[in-house]
Amino acid sequence: MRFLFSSIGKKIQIAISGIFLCIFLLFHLGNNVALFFGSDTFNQMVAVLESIKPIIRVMEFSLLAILLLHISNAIYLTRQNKEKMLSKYQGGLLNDASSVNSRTMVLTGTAILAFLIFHLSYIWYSYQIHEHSDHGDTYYSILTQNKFGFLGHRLTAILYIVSIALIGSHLKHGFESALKTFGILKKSKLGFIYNLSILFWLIIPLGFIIIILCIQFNII
Amino acid sequence: MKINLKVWRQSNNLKGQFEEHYIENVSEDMSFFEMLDMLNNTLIEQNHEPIAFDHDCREGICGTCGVVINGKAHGPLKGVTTCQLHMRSFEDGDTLVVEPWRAPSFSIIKDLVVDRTAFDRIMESGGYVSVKTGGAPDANAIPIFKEDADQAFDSATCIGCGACVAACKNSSAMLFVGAKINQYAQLPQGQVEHPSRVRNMVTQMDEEGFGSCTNTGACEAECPKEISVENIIKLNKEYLKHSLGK
Repeated sequence: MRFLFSSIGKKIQIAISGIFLCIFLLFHLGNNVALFFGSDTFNQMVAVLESIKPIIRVMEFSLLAILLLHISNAIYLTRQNKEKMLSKYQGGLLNDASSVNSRTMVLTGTAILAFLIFHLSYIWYSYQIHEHSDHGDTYYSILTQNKFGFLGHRLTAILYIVSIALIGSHLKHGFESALKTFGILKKSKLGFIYNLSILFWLIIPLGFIIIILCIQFNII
Repeated sequence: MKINLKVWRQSNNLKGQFEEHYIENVSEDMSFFEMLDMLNNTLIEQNHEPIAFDHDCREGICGTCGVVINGKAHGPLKGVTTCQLHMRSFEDGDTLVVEPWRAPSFSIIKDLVVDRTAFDRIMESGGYVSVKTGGAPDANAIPIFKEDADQAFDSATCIGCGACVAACKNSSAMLFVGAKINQYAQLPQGQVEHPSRVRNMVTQMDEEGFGSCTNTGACEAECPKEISVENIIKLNKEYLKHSLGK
């Protein structure tokens, strides 16, 4: 128990939950790639997920629990660290040796949470109340419609792209920092694991952005 | 050289403030502390209180000195303690803002002098090896790999000055504790007490009120002994290994 409440224990909880959230992003993008194979493929894919709803619900609640663990520990440590910052330098602290990503984790994290609520309250919620039928709206048409909150809408698309870029910034520091917290040491010895961080902070966010751009320019 | 010095003045728990001094005839060959000595001589001649600052060996090996100059712990040079910093590192006419280490665990005693006994208490909680004393053993009685010996020595070069805490936005002491654990972690003599050392030192570090590490790397950049953040990574690993199941 003492371990869980120690500063390193809290960091490890943030790191483990963060890695799980990263893996979720991988699955999310994997599903979204179906968009490139046409609206029918995408609709069928969502319908398959709908057919295993109980499993999906369990996964959603697990993901929510992981997210809450990530956020609550981050808030706890940030509040503690904020107290330590109250009396920093009046002449200014020149932290130019540390990266901007690492110093803005709380800001990017908060922005990502706001984006997540926005994303869920429009697209995810619309999918929950949608009754699938042969005529009328399909999952594909809901997603790509030109209405605020959906990807056919120009302003929404810009909001999504900015938010996804922030996720990239958060993961650029977050993934590597998590590896350090687990005590994974040398970049040279564990090049493969370190290179995995590029997948999470660059390739996955880029994938999402490409999908949004393709929807905006009617490529898919 | 002419230097405009904005230096922090504070007594105990009283509210501090910056005091400005314009100093002329500063030689570029003077050390930073010799410049302060010169200013203090003038202040004493004028019946003013001299500026209090910590210093001892003035050779960069004891870890007693340390001030923040223009937002940089130990001043602008990399891998150098304040006592080894010379005025040639600054330009004629420069304004230097000089402050003490600022961290809740390092309270200000006077002016630029801070109380670093929190570090002593962390060391007391486990930063030692219990061995039978007696005659010095043969240097090679216990064979140790060169790489391990080198890494232990690199960690042991930490002089405990507190620049890592001063530079960290969270006032975290992870680099210091990491170095103090790793100087023993790879040596056979350090193994006996290793698990309890890791647990006790981290617990004491948390109790002293140091912040947590967010891996920004500011500590390594400002460390006068260039202690690597690898010490923090190893500390995380060792703490994880020896805390689970306890």
